[in-house]
Amino acid sequence: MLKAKNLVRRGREMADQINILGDDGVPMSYHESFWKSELIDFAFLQQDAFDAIDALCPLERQEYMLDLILRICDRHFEFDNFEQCRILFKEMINTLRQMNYTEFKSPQFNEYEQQLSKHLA
Amino acid sequence: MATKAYQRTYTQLQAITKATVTLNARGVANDELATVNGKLAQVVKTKGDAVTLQVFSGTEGVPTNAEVSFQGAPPTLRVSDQLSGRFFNAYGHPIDGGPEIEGEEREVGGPSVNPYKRRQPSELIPTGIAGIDLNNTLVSGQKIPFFADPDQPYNRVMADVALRADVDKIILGGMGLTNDDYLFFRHAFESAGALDKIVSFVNTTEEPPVERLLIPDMALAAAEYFAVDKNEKVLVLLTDMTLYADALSIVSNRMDQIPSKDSMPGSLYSDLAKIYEKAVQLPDGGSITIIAVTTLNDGDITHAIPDNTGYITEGQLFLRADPDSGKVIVDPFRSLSRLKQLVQGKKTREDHAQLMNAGVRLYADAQNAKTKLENGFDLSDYDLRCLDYAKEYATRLLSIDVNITVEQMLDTAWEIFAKYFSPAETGIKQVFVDKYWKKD
Amino acid sequence: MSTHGKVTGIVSNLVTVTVDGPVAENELCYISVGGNQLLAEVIRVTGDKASVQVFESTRGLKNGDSVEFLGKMLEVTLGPGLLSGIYDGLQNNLTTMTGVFLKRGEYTDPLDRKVLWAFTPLAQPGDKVIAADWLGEVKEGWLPHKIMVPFSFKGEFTVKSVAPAGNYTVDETIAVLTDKDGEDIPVTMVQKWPVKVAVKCYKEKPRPTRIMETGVRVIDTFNPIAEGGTGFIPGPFGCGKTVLQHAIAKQGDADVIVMAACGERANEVVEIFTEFPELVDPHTGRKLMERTTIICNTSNMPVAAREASVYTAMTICEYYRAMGLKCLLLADSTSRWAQALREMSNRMEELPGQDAFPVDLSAIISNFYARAGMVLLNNGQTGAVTFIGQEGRPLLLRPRAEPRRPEALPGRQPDRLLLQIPRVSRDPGIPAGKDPEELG
Repeated sequence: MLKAKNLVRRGREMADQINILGDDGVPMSYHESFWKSELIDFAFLQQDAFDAIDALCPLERQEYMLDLILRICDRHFEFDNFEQCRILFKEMINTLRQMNYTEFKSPQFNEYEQQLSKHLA
Repeated sequence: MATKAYQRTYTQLQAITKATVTLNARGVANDELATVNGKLAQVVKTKGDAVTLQVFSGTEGVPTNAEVSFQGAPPTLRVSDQLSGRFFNAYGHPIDGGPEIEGEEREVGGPSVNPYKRRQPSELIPTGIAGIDLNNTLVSGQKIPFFADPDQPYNRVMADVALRADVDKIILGGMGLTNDDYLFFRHAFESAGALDKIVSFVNTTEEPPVERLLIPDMALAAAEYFAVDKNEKVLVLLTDMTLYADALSIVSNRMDQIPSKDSMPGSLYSDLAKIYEKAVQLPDGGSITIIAVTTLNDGDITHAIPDNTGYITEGQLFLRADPDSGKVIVDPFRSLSRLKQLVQGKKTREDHAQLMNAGVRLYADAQNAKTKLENGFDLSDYDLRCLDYAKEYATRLLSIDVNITVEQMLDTAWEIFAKYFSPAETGIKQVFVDKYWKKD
Repeated sequence: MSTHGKVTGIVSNLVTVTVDGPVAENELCYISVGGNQLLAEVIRVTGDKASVQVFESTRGLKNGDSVEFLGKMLEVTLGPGLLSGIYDGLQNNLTTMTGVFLKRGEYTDPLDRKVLWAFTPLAQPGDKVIAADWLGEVKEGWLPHKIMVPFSFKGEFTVKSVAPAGNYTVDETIAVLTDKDGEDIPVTMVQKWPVKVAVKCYKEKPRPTRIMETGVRVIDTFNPIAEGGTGFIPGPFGCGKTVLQHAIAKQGDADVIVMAACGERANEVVEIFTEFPELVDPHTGRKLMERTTIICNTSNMPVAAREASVYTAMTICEYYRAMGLKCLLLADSTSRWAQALREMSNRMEELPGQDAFPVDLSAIISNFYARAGMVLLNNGQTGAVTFIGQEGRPLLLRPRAEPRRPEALPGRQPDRLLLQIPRVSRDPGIPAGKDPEELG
């Protein structure tokens, strides 16, 4: 939990740096940190209170999702450019959000998880 | 007002301020009306024999020996079907040259509806404006103000909304309207051929400010007659509530009350809530929907009036000029309809809520791109697409001059998304993407 | 015997009464006006003048109207049947009132006196008992509702007899206790308790040890709240406080939920009692309404009863806590309550503190928060009241409660919950975009 908070915090600092120095003015690792914090924000912190499934997230599911998200964040990715970084993270965020909208451990849920696993190798 | 047998008359005032007079009198009831040299006034305070009255039309020319007659009753309005199509002043007297209304005399500012007897609002009020219907859908029984700077065309938008809404009666409560605004409303209602379903209570800037305090109660008493007695769907327009609140502060100031934030009386929240909470969905089908205007000082929503209003109303519609599209738009970030989820996807298509969220989220990305551009940085391909999207989104959906059906709004949103983005970039639920995504 | 008085001054709902005998701070009185009895509470006494806040509209009230003091403070009625109840701030049952509009001076019984409850005795003749000890239980929905020695009983009693298992109304005697002087006292299922006094019939208040699951990720994982903890959700209007609170009410892991709508929107209460009877509690599979009590003083209801509503709600929670149950009190909002205090302070012309709020505001709020907590009952079982308040103005009202951290769960720090929500969340349908920087 603390780790996730720190990741969000660091990502925010990176975002400030990117805003000051520009996309090209910072190392690729800054973009990666920023997008990891966006991943936590969009896929975990944000929750759709008007969606029947996402509205209620039991502790077991919370732990499962946080674990999955932190495993992604633990990975170091290689990118040629920041646009590639953005596209990959946007895709992962989208898949995680689809998971949030799907019944826990249902076939559909597992399928989305499968799609993510290729990024976790 | 008819003279009654038990009327008590006094001729010795103890104190006069610009808005109030104080005299010694006995047997006076709280909230009771009186006349002071013919001017209508209302009891606001008693302390021992000293009675303080707020004089609605101001105390100019009131002498210490003015004749004060107590009427024995709080303010009333005569209600009947004859109200339809008529224009009244703050006291409920006709200003359109027509005859006085015949009907039952009712107290205004009456009791609240028992919350348990209310029903959940569930009927969509379509306005044709996508900034409202798509992103901030209105529901009958809702109360919502426009927050707008004085130079925004809020009265025009409100008139559009009223005339397009599917309601049985429209009640206009005009407070501090300029003569031009008054004539605009009159003209708009007449030329729409809708005059017979409209009742208007109007106080213009030419008239004394304290009189405005009666307008919302009069308008809502008429609204309750049609909604409760006749089971009709009633839309009440209140403009401008900032000028109403200003009048409250004038009276409390003259009564030497300790002001709270921004010189407003400490009771501002309760005073405004009593008005706005008259919005209701009744069990027998009648409803009162309130659309108000709260003008802002240079977009400042932390001022006590908009701030208190925001905690009472079910959202707010924020108008602003958008330089990129050259339109006045309903700001998607600062606007909110708290009841939208009661109709979105229920009275409208299933994909409504997801489209709304995606549209606003991408618009936010465009704002970030704009900031980058202003700071002199190179824009990515995604940034550039966001900017183009924002312009089209503002022009075709956010602008107040849009007038299309909800179905058309949803189709337009899918079309614009497909033009600039991939499905993953929108983050919309896969089932809807599969069903509605506009393929080439 | 009882003290009487006459009305000598009126400003809105603050009435001055000249009295002919002793009166107590917070004592209740009835003011007679036009055949109605209006309930009021003493909030200041100066010489033979008592200032009372009236829980109803004072329209038509006159100097000279008679007042009767009741010799007691504001009380709630406690007994089986409170769950799924919908009450106003004074615990009048809103569901049994007649007519669409609230009638002034109409007071209804909070409990159904005719219902038969299946009683099972728990105590034996000869048992030594003190206040809040369990004498028997009835099934209220699926919850075991303990019938206790009334909280107001002082000292030790001997159980003389307990009614055999069977069906009884709340007013039938279910036990007879003998006090130390040998006097027999009959006990029914109903007891009364003054709302402004904390119920302290427990052994001790240890540190909370368990997490209360809310199903909201940003709370449970990032900032968990303990059973018996306190928290508040600050934020400007429109940021999702109420959406979040309703989410917690729907899925919070508690036996009993009391929702206090304190000066809030009536439609939000309507949403609860429209949806909760349909929605299922994810932890028990029962209908949500069966575990929920609603205390409802919406913003248009009399301002003095707004303050009473949070105390009424807290006392009901304390009552269920004494049965060894986990209770969750959700109050929306404490800032409205603070404004109610300001309105009265303002009318009494007290010297104002910051932003014209009364100077003892933070002490009042802190005392209230301190009534929450996990308690160890006399019989070794535990019960808890978790309190989550909503705050429009966080800085002013931050409670000075001691942070509570259970040691049992390393890595997690249930604490005062503080969710800072930025004004513009990127997704209008999502009550999040919460700022983890501000968490905890």
